[in-house]
Amino acid sequence: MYSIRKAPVISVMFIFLLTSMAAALTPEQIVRKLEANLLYPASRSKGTIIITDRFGERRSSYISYTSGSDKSMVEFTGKEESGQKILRLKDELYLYYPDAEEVIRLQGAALKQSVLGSDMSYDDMAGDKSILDSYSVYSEGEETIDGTNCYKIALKAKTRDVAYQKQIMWINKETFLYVKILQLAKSDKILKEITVNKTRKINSHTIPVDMIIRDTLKKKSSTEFIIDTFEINPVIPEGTFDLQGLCW
Amino acid sequence: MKFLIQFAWKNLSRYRKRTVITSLALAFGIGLYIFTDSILVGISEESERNLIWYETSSARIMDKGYWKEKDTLPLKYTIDNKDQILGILKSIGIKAVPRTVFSGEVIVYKDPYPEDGSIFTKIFAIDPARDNTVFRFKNTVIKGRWLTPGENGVLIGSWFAEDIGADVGFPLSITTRTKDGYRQVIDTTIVGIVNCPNPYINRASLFIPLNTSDTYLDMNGGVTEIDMKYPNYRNTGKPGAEVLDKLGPLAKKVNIKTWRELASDFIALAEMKSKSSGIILLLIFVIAIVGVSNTMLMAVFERERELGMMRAMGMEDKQVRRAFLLEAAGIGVIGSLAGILFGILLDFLIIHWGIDYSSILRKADMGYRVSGVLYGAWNPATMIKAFFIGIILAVAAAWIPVKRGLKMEITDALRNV
Amino acid sequence: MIQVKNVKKSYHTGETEVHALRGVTFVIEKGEFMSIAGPSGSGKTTLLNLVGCLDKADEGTILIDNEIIHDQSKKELALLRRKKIGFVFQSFNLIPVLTAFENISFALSLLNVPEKKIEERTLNLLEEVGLKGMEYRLPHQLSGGQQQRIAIARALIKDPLIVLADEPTANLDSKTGEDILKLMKTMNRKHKTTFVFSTHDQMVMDYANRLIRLHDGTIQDDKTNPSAKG
Repeated sequence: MYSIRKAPVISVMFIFLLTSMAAALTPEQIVRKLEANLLYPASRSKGTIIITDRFGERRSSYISYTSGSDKSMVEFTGKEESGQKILRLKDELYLYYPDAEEVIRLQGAALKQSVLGSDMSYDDMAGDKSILDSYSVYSEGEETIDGTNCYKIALKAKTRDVAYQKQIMWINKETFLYVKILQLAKSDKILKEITVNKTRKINSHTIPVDMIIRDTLKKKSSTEFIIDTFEINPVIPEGTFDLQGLCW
Repeated sequence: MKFLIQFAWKNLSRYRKRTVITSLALAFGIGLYIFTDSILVGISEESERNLIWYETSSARIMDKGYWKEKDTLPLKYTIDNKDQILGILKSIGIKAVPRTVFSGEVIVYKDPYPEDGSIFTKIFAIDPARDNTVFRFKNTVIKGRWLTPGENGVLIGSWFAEDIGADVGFPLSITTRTKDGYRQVIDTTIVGIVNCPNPYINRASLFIPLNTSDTYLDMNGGVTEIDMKYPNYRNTGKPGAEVLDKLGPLAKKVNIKTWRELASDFIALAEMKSKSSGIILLLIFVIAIVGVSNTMLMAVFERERELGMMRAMGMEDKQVRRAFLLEAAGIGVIGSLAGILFGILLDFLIIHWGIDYSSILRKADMGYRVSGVLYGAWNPATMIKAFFIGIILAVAAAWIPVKRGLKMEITDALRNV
Repeated sequence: MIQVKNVKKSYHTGETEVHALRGVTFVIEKGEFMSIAGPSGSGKTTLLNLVGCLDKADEGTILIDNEIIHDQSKKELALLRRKKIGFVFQSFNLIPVLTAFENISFALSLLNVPEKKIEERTLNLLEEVGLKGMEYRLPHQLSGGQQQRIAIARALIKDPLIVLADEPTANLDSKTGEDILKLMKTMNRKHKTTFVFSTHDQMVMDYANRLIRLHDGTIQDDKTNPSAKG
C-alpha cells in the first residue's frame, strides 16, 4: 500500500532534484494552474452517471450548471431520480425532491450521505474554497501514469472541515488536469481512487469527460461520470441558482 | 343469609357436573390470564435487566450538547475531564466506566467471509479492564476472548457475526470519521464473539478497546459518555441526585440521563404493549365469561319453576337473586382457586423452563430487549386480582339470566314445566 | 276471613283477550275445606293465584284478614305469602337439592324462627304426614305421593291462614290421590287450617265440604256438601 510517510528517502531526494531542475513551478503554482483550468465563468454540461456496486449497475443522467466557483446546480434527469436537484451556494447544499415538494438543507451528518448511492458523498460536492485554503501541498516529484507525464502532489489537511486528511494527485504536466487522485484515511489507507480516462479540450480548458471514482475498500464499487456535452459560457436559464427556483 | 349460603353450596354440590364444567371454563380463563401476565411481566423485567446490563447502564453522563444530536452518534461533544468525574463517582461509591460510541461502516471481503459486503453499525469503544464493573459483556463471550487494551481487536455480536459470516480471527475494517471529521479506516481482527441477551446489541454492535479508538478517532482522551451503575440498578432517583450534587460545577457541562430516558423507545413501547396485552387479557376474559354465562343461563332457565316457587313461598326478589348470585359466586371461588392453581402450574413451567422464542425474536424486532428463551415471572398481585376478577365475572355472568327470571310473573314461572 | 268481591281478570294471549274471571264473589271462612271445580279454562287456577296473592285482579277486591291486597307492593305481598299462605302445587315443586327435612323447614327459616323450634316442628310434621325416618331423603328418592306429602308439610309448617292447592292430585294415581286428600282433610281437622283446592276430578270433589263450580269465569254453583268423604 502506498504511504507517504514510508516513502524511501531516496525518492524524496529524487523529487527534490527534479523540482529544482524544473525550477519553474512550486507545488502551490501547480495546484493554482489545476484550479484555473477547472474554473470557468459559467458552464452547462449534460452527462451520465454509472453507479456500480455489488448489487449491479445503475445509470442516471443529469444536467449541471455552474457559475464561477461558488454556484452550481445539478438536476437529475434519469427515470428514477427525475426532477431531483442539488443546489450549491457557496458552502451551503440544498436538496430538492419532487415527490416531497420540499427543499432540504444538508448539514452536519447528512453531508456524509452518499449521492444517489454512489461513491460520492454530498460533502465531496460542497465547499467552494481553493485546495490551498484547506490543504498544505507538497511536491513528490514527477511520475508517468499510462504514458502521461505528471506532477505528483501530496495534499495534507491544514483545516478540519475536509473529509480527507491526505490526498495524492497526479497532474498532467501539459494540460494541468489531474489524471489520478488518491484520497486517504487518516490511517493512510486509500479510501478512494479517482481516475480520468478521457478529456476534451474546450477553448483553453481541458475537461475530464470520463472519470471514475472507485471506493477502494469496496471492491466492486465504482461511480463513473461521463460528460456528453459541455459548454462554457452558455445561456443559463434565469433563476437556476435561486433557492425559490429549485421547486420549478 | 346463612341459609342462603348453605342453599347455594347445596346447589353447587348437587349439580356437580355443571359446577365442575363451569368452574373449569373459568379456571381456564383465569389460568391463562395469570400465565399471560407472567410472560408479559417476565419479558418486561428481563427487558429492563438486559437494557441496564447491556445497553444503558443505570444512568449515563454525557456532554450537554450530545443529547440533542444523539441519534447521529456525534464525536464532537465529548467529556474531556473523564478522570476527574470518574474520581468523584468513585468517592461516592458509584461504579462508572467511560465509553465512546460512534457509527461506522463495516467492510468485509470474500474469503474468509462468504461474500463482499458492507454495513453501517454502531461501535462501542470500551475500557477492557473496567467495562465489566458496570456492564456484563465479559461474561457473554462465547467464542474467542475478551479485549486487551490497545489492540486492534474487535468483539462482535453473535447475531451480527452470523449475518455476515464472521468468525474469530477474521479481519474486519471499519470506516468512520475522526472527531475532526476526517475519513478514517480502522483495520481490526475479530478476537471474540459475544452473545448477550439484548438483541439490539447482538444484532449490530462491535466493541473495540477505548484507547484504540482514542488513537484512531483523535479523541485526545475524550469520551462520549460515562456509564454508571447504581446500587439498585433500577432505582435512579436518589443516587442521581447525589451524583449531581457531588459533581458540583462540573454538572453544568453535562447531562445525566437515566436508563428510562435513554431507553424511552422501550418505555414507550412497553406502555403501548401493556395496552395491547390488556386487549389479549380482555379476550381471555371474554372466553371465560361466555363459558360461564352460558352455563349460568342454562342453570337459571332450567330452574325457572324453582325460582317461581321460591317467590310464591314468599321469598323476596332480592333474596332469590342473592341465592342465585351466591351460587354463581361459589362457582367463581371454585373456578378462581382452580384457575390460580392452573396458573401456578403454567407459571412454574414458564419460569422454570421458559419458551424458546429465539427464531421468532431473531427475525422480528419487537422492541423488547429479550432474546432466546423467554421466562415468566411470579406475580402474586395478579393472582389475587385474578381471584376477585373470577368471582366478579361469575356473578356478572349470572346477573342477567337471574334478572330475566325475576322479571317473569310468578304465575308464568310456575306454569312452565 | 277471605273475601272475594266481584273480581275480574283477563289475559292477553297474542291478539285475543281471554276473560278468565268475569266477576266472582264469595267468602272463605276459617277452617273450610273447599274445592273449586270446573273444566280447564274455567278460571280455577286464576282464582287461586289471585287469592294466593301471586297475581292482581283487574277489578274487584280481595280482602285477606280484612286487608285489601290490591294496593300492596310486591314486597308486602311476598311477606304476606310468606306468613299467611301455603301452596301445594300440582307438580310438587320441591327443591331438588334439599332433603325432605330441609324442604319443609325452608319455609319456616324464611320467617326467622329459632332453629331449635324449626327442627321440632319439622320433625313433628314429618311424622304427621307419615314420613318419619325419611327426613334425609332427597325429592328424587321419594315417590310422587311422598313428595306431595312433603309439599303439604311445607305448606303447613308456618301455620298459615290458608293452604291453596292447585290440582294437588293431578299428577298422582287415584289411590295415592285419595290418600293425599285424606291427609289434607286430617290436617284441616286437626290444625283448623283452611284448605282451598282446585280440581276437575269428581273423586276429589267428593272430599270437599263446600264446592264452588266455575264455568267461563263465573260461579255456576256454590254449595256445601254435608256428606263429604274423609
